[in-house]
Amino acid sequence: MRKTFVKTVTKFMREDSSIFFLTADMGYGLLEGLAQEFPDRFLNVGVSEANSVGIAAGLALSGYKVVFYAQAAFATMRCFEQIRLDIASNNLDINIVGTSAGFALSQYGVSHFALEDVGLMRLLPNMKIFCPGDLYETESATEYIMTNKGPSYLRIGRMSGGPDINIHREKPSSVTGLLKMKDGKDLVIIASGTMLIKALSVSEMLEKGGISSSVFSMPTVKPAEKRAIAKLRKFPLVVIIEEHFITGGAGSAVSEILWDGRSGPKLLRLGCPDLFPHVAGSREDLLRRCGLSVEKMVSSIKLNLKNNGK
Amino acid sequence: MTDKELLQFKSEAKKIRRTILEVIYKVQASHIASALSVADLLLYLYKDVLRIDPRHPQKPDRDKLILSKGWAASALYAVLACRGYFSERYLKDNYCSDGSPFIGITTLGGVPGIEATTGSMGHGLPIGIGMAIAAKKLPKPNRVFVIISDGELDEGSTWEGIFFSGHHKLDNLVVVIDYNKFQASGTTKEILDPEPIKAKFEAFKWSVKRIDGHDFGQMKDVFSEIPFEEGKPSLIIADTIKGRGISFMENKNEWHYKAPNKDQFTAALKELIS
Repeated sequence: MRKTFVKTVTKFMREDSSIFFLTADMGYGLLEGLAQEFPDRFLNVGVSEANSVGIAAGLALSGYKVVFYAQAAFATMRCFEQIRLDIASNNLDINIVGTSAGFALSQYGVSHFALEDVGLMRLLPNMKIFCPGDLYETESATEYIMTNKGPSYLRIGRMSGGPDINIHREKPSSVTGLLKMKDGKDLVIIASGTMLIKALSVSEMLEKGGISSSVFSMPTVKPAEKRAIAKLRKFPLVVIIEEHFITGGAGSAVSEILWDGRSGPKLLRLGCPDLFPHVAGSREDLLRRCGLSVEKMVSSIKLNLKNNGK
Repeated sequence: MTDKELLQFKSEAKKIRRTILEVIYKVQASHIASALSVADLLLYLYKDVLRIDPRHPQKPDRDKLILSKGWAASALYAVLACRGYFSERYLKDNYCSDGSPFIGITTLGGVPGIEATTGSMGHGLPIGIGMAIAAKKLPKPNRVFVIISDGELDEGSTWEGIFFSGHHKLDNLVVVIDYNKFQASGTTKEILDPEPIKAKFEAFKWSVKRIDGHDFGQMKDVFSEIPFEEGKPSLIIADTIKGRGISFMENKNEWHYKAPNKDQFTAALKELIS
């Protein structure tokens, strides 16, 4: 996903001399090409996220469109107050790109996990949030933020359960809204970002058990596509899967839309529970511990359908 | 500086302080002592140093000033009014009133001449650095001036910025420390002594000069020399007095918070008229 992002950004930087790329000393082995090709518009600020965000604001106030690149945990949390005041409150044209989101750096522990980033960014007015789920969505989301003005957060993780690939048959023309992956009638599964591939596996496994599910990818968390989400009320069960704390992320966004006081579908929000996972290991193991393995998700869904009276 | 010029500055500085006093008294706002501390520096910069055009506040080649200590907004507004960015009446009618753009902490958007949203401590310098880089890269002749408080030297982001701008040789960047030796809850010496400031900045590859921040003659000498050295950002340590110009507020940190009551207002106004 990171490579697709860099490739797409490079294309835009070739065409538009007002794009400035900042990194807080991240992107070893990945950003050297950008640094060489655009020495006047590429800057490694050093390991200083707060300073980077302030600099991004100063550049944007001088007419540049800015990309700020760092690992998700540091790009969003270390400098949250700078993002809030310098970028979001002034609606500046700055794209924050957080890599290795979720459990991508599984061996490094909580310091390097980003399970709060989407929640934090969702709190900020003006901020748009994109969580691509495959390479095509990464390309589309990058194109979107590079062609639209205003602040955005692009969350780049790693696809679960294997190498990063294309899942969509072709590049989606838009990353806003819900992208339909599969039709089904018994329930709907919404996948946020990196969990897309697992969501499809969950759907397949349910199908083997005679349960038919619709699957949507939701690469845009904010602004959430209210109308499309509201249409899901016809399903008895809506499941949202994300590699993020259950609090504040894509699941919260969907539930805030669906829960309007009227009767609605039952919601099942699958994400990292409200605790810090203090263990080492593989990403798959961390996801399993959070109930996000395909098998565990399938049993959670079956249990919910059963309780629903199905 | 000629005696005539000096008299002119002193008289305008009194007027600026009257405006600060009046707007703060009217809405019973805070931070009067911080505004009085930085008023002379702001007046001198806007009158004699900054290449600006108040009729065209967004002119692309203008010098930019960021008041990082944005809680002294009343001083900046008073100086901007004095330079004709808007009328003094407009400021006096609207400072901190319901729905007004004259927010008690400088905020980008509604007031012409304001270059950044500041006042959350440690934000102004990194934003100014971004502007200085942009001016170098584009390239444009803008110079960037950032006024920080001594208290802001406590913030990590300030030091990230100091470290960065020395390394990157940003000689179009000037930082002025309004060094009144007080921060929110006491003296800087007690709470977190920033000294030796000069040696610290020099170690970070800055060029440093020190002046009396209420002496217009010294300001003229030092601001005419920037950049002090080619390839280095310039720091001016301006020794100031918190609450300067109103005797009972000088060096009294309670005036970081308090607004004057009617008797205090009358007494202060008397000092600023005489």
